[in-house]
Amino acid sequence: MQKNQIIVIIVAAVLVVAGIGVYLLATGEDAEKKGLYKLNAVVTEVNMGQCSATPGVIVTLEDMYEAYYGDLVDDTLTIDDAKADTDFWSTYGTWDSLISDNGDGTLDVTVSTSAKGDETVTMSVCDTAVVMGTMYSETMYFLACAENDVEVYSEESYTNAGVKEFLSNAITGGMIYSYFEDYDVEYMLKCVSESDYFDLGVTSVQKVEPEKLASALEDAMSDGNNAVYFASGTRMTADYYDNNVNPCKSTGANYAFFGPTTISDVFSCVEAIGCIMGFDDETIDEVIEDIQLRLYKIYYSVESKTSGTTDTTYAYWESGLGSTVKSSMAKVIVQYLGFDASLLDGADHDLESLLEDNPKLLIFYTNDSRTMDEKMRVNQ
Amino acid sequence: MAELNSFEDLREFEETSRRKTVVIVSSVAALAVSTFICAMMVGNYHLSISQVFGVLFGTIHDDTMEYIIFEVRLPRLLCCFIVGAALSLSGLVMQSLFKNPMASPSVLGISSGAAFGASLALAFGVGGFMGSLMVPGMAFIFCFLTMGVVYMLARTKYGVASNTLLLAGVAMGAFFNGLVSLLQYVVNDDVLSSIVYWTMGSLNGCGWSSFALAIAPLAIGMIIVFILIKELNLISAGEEQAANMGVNVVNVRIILIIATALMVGGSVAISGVIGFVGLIVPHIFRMIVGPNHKLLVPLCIVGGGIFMIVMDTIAKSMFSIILPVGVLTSLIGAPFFIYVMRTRKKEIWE
Repeated sequence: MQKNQIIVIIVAAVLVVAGIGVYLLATGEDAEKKGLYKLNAVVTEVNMGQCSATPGVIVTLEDMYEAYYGDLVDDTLTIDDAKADTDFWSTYGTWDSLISDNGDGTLDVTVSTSAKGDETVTMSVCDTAVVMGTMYSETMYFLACAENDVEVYSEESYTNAGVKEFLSNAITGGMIYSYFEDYDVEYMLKCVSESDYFDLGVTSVQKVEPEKLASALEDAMSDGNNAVYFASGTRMTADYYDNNVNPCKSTGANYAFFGPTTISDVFSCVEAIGCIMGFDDETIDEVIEDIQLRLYKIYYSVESKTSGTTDTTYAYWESGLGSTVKSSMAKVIVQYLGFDASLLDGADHDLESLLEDNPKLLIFYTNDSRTMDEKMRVNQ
Repeated sequence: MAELNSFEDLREFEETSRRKTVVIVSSVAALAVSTFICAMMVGNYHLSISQVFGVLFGTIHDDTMEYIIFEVRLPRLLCCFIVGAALSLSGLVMQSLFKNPMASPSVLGISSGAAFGASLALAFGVGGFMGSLMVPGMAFIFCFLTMGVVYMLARTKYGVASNTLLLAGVAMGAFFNGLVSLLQYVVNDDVLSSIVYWTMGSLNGCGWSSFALAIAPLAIGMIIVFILIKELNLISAGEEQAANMGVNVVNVRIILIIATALMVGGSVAISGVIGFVGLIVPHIFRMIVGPNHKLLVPLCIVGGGIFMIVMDTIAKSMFSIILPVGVLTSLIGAPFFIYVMRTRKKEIWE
């Protein structure tokens, strides 16, 4: 027999055997007995945009608490109860102010970058903003909702005339608009029109093109507006500082860079952003106190439910294929809910190590496109 | 080598060679089995040796332990073996076909092409019609595409010169690396980390479904190489001589390239890009047993499997974090690559 014929026959045989093998595997054991299902852990999905040091983190905390623990122990607690709880208040209720009013219409703002650390810049109250980071737009959204007395993330907030008018006028441009579509940032999609938005085409300060930023700032300053450029200070290393700051200086726009990493930093940023964008103290205090009270209710409930327990309970938070989340805020969230955050190290954890560590809470992002069986490693 | 003065001398030489082949292959096979068994003892879920044997021999019946042994460790080790075998055999075939000791799947740009295919799938969902096989499927397809393009670029009317092939591979590798970098630049951070992780190469996610996915192309590729061992021996000695001995060099070369693409594609589909295996393992065995492919082919299969099992076991267990095995093979492979470059300059440049 010719060698070619032998090859063809063997290939056909191997394909048939492999096909049978694949079929048997596909119709095999129930998926829920395999992979991470064996942990019998609580599985929850969170919105990535609400997992950084933004006001929206309170939604993430509430959702994760409810998924794991259920109802709050006491939903009638007040802000005075929170202030009276010195353990809570000293850690989560106080914050360092990043802003001071000079009394002459100007504000001194402490901006923070990896390049230069803390700096003080003086600016006036601003009318418009070019925003590189959802922390800033979300904070403005929270403040606008408080001012117009609507609940955040409600349908009413997306259609409220006051909220829409503020956001559409204030946010004139910034990070790539498709980011809001990819991550379902509804308040931006519904309140800020893409046609009126100056798209910088990037998602990070490291990729900002100075000329384009200068054009965006000039656009924000048209009609005599006082404009501010908001961006992440953490990622603004020495290599990228000038590309982000010099366009501001050359156009006469203001800039404010923050790098919040803790819950207290959220309050600092809410205050600073609120003052810069002209919100009154009452509105700013309302937003901050609302977050503090909601935080306290969770804190109180977690303390009640975990008091007396000595076992280490892990949470596992996967950001996608092959890696865990390792941001400082993610660790804060997990620890706030009473879990050990050791598994949030940014590394890959194979199935065996997860079965060994036995995390009780598994967290994935809502925009993770894998199927649940893939996330739970059923086919491994 | 002793002088062969008579037919009896020749028969004795052949008999000695055959015994040597049996001894060497048996020893390496025994080493493979013992490595496999030892690797079964090692993992991040703590099981004692007695527990492992208890589960394997059916004296311990614990749901979780049985799951770890039969559903996690066993398929992963089998995947390690077949991926290591396939990559080292691919490297051997390329080095012999093109008579260049530097040839390997990663050097010829195939791995970069596969990385680009997978990155397209991860970034934009290209190949979504393949469902859960989208990423491995795209890697496999681009593996074949790259191999074909590299071959076509290197082919002239006088045949395929090995230096031209390497240069074409480097060029295509650079091209696809540039495309992967572009994708990494434009995607979001979470997709970026998935792409970076995939291109590092890892067997962490390999189970029975991965084994089922890869076994067909890998087995077909290996069988083709086995069948064409004699032709490979003749071609590696010289294409003119091989043609004079009745070998259809062009056809055999094409079939072997297809076999290589099957093996590399199947490996990359389940493990991502793992470099330098195809460079290191063939050279080690060539230094031990010489250039005879009747010995080299089975040794590369078994030896490549052993090598990958050892590397994966080290990567998952030796450090405080689990390393992608591709990182480890590159750290070991690069110095070896330099060693080959310096000690075999004459072969490279001829």
